[in-house]
Amino acid sequence: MSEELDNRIRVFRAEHRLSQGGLADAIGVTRKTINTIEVGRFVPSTLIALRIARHFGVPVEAIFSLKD
Amino acid sequence: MKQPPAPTKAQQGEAFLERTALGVLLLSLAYGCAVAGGLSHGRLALTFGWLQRALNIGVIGVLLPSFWRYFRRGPQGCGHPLDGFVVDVFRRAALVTFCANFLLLLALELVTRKGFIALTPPQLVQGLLCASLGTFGLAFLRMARVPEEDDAAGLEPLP
Repeated sequence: MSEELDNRIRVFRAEHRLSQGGLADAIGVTRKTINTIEVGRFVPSTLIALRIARHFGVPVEAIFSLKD
Repeated sequence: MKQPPAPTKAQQGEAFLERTALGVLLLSLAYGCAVAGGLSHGRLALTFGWLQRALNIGVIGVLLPSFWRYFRRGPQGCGHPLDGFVVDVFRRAALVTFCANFLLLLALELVTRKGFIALTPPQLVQGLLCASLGTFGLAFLRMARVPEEDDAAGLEPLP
């Protein structure tokens, strides 16, 4: 995981019954990008974070948060 | 027979970057063969020459489809990889290459000042290109490794 950024994408995907590939197609990135964000290897740009949040209909803070 | 789904623009863009990195790695090997061929004699030099030609053809084979699409359909034909993991890896590999090149040039500056290198200027340039392109290709391939299988956690029923 990223040392500073936590994310709840997997939880939201499970709630929306969405695969990594499905989410990737929906927001215009590739599955690799979603996979690496989930495991914390890649810190997404503001644009990608906002697209993910918009797709799930929640504020970006509901998905991404700083680790304490 | 069921056709595989057409790649999205993001997938096309990533494939373009991946092919470019692979082409760069093959090009570095071709430069390496050119240097090795220049330093060797007889059959060995001939073998390196053939290997270099084969690698050059490989470079064209890897890069031509991407650039053909680019020139025929414009940047949109190659997707638009403006953002995402592979784009980030591409940038990081470029940064690694810059740092490695800088250190190599510093070391070479010291070595050549003492006259330890018996390479001709063209061989030296080819060697530097080999190191530079090879560093980029290897750094990219190493950093871009990601498990292939899709995590379909979202498709499992919630408890």
